[in-house]
Amino acid sequence: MSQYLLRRILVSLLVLFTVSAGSFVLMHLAPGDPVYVYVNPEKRNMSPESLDALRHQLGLDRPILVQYLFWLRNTLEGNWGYSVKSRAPVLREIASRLPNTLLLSFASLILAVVVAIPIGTLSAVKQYSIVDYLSTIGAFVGISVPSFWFALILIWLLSVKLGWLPSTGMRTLTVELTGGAAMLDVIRHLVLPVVVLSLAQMSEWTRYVRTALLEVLGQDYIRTARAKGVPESMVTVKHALRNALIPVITIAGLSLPALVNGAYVVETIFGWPGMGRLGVNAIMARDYPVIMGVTMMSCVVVIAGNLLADLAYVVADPRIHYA
Amino acid sequence: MTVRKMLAIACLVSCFAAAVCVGLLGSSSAPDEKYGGTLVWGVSDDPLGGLCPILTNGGTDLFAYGFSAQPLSWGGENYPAELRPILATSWEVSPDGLVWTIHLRSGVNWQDGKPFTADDVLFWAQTIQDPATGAEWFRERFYVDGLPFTFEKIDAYTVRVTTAAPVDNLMSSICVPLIPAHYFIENNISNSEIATSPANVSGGLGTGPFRIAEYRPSEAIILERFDGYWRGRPYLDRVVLRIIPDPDAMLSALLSGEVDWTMIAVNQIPQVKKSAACDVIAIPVDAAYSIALNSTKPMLADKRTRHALMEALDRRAIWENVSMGYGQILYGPWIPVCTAYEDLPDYPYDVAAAKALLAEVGWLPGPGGILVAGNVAGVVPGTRFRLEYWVTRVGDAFPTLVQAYWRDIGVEVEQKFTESSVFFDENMGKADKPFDVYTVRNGFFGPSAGNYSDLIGSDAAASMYSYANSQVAALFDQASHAASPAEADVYYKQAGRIIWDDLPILPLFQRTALWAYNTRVQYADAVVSASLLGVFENPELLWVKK
Repeated sequence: MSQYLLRRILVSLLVLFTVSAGSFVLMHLAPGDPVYVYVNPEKRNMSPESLDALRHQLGLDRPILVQYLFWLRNTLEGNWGYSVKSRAPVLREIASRLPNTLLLSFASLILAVVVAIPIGTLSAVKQYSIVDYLSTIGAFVGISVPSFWFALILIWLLSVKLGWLPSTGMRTLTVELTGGAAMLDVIRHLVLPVVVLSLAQMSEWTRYVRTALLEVLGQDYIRTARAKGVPESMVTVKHALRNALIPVITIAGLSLPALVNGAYVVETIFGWPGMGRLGVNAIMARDYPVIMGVTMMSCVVVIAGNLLADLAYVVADPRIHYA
Repeated sequence: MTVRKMLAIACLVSCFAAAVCVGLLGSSSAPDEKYGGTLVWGVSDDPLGGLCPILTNGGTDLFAYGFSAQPLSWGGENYPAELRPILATSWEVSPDGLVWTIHLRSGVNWQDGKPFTADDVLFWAQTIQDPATGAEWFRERFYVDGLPFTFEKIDAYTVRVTTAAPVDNLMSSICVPLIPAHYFIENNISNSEIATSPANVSGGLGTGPFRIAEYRPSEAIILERFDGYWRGRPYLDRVVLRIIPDPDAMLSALLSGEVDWTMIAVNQIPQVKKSAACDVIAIPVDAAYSIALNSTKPMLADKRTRHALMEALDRRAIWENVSMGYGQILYGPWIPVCTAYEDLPDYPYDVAAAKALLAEVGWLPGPGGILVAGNVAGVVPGTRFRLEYWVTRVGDAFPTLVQAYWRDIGVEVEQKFTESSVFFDENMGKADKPFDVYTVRNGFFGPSAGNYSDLIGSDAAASMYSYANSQVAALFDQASHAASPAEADVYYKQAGRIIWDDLPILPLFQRTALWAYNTRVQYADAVVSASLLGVFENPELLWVKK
């Protein structure tokens, strides 16, 4: 196992280097000058000399290879550079938003799991029943509904019309709240974005759980367990579900990067200060240092997510062993 | 009278007296209702460039400076055009126009309690003028003919500014919020480090009624009341600039009461008007919509062609359709806040006249109703009259309207969608710009037409509209050396008439800022302005009904 881990780490380093170089070059080859995002000529026309001075100040006038080597050296030293847009350290930009994204993502993940596993299980166990049909319809609607439309409908109904929940932001800013009141305030603000974000996920996972469980329930060992007189609930939960969850673990591991990258649409509509907005806005603004920071972080998370998923197989299925 | 009766009367009299006192106190406490509360202002994006006012690039941070920072005078770069003394109380200029003496306001403190003095003005000026600072948005405004203005301290509250050539609108030119010298000196922050210093990243000190207390990235900028403000304690305790990127979500937040004040689009007005708790005010701004034509292209080189394209547009209908009648139609190249603005002869909507002009130029009817070149100078005979309209913003209504109008006169318009940074990258600084047509949203030039010099009047490469006219350039040069703004305006008006005849741009209408607000916000005394550096002239007088 240790040799396996060592091999994975070495391969990961190679992947990180390749992704960083490729991203850096592609980013600089894309059309558009970051200076014109920074200083819109429609609001203030500047002389070519001033624009050159700005490029120099932002370090954009050096050859791409030199810029990359500077970036690589600084990154290895822990300095991820400064955002072109905000002039703040890239690490600060990420650190100020990552916890918000993790909160939103994990809350939606938990909601998706809590809803998908029981409903998927029930749907499989009571196949072709009214429960199964309703959950199938619900899942397809959940997958098909555009998240931005669903978000606006919820805001209109629950915030504007009924006034039950806040429509935007992560917390109330008009008063200073502390302790339990602050936590409750964040939870209230979390409800709508979590529901929207988890809808597609829980719909998909409901279908995965149903399909996987149906396959397992048809296996011989399940028939044997029933023949031995094991209660149906124990057959389903203890024997069938555990095996049926293996593909679900795969999907969960692969969805880890999405948890960190955030969800741009949901964050934009709800004004949630997360990584999704940071990444997309950095791309629109040609904010090269932030783009690199977010890209490398995503890369690390993808690599870690795959590794965790592979290790989770070993736990879930004792037959799996890595040399 | 018995003692008991006397005591009863005394008691009654005392109660009556107490009631009168309470009544008087009650009436005298009415102004107290204005104090306290928070105003939540919806903005669409994080600050661009940080929160130090000298480094602004025209983003959300401008709204923050309107509450926290102040310039020497208000106006010029801003709207309205007349100058109002703020941190400067008065100023004089020498007869030759080269020396300005500026008298500063005493008794003003920075938000950390330290006094504002001439040292701050000198520090602020040299910081902006130093290329290492990167204050490119403002640096050139502290120069004339390539030479920097020289700032000298006469005494603690008097500064002398010497220029290499007369600058008639100097106070407008240097209308940039001040920054505190002592903060940067005491913290050993060099000019090149200001951009990445906490003053820019998290917000620094100003002399305004509210100080930037906290910046939460992608969430909000929080400003707290400054009790030591030189005009007196502000009414509000706090102003929160809440960042909500989506316009529909912003409107929802306003209608649900989570946001008190925000800018909206024209098509959102009906929904706001339906709400009993919200209302809209429209303020004309120093900005306009125009259609830019690349007059260096052979198809657009002939002035008659540009006249035809102008007469083929029903500008009133466009104004009513896009702006719902807000703002005003332009009859000149400048925006009305410009002192050189004058109403020039209209180009009336006349399709027949437009077609006749194009026929005169040499365009002939072609297949599909699109004109083809006959004997058009510089155009290969048989070429279809086809223009590429570069579209840089989602939801830009003008390209489709222009496409329809010009189709009526046989001009085919194809929309080319591109990002604005790509557009500027491919067109800026080039004499042979590739664009044919694009929508211009320029603004914030102030009362002097000289501020338009980079757009019109230099050369085709430097001009955003690819427009070069030696007569106009000469008039601009004469105006820049004029002895007074009135004399300069004589030259600018002549230039304006030439440009209106040349039509390198097709001015449509002046823009309007549409502010939607919750009616609990009381802004009358604060006075809404269309200034670049703040929406309220007196933000300390803003208050909210509890």
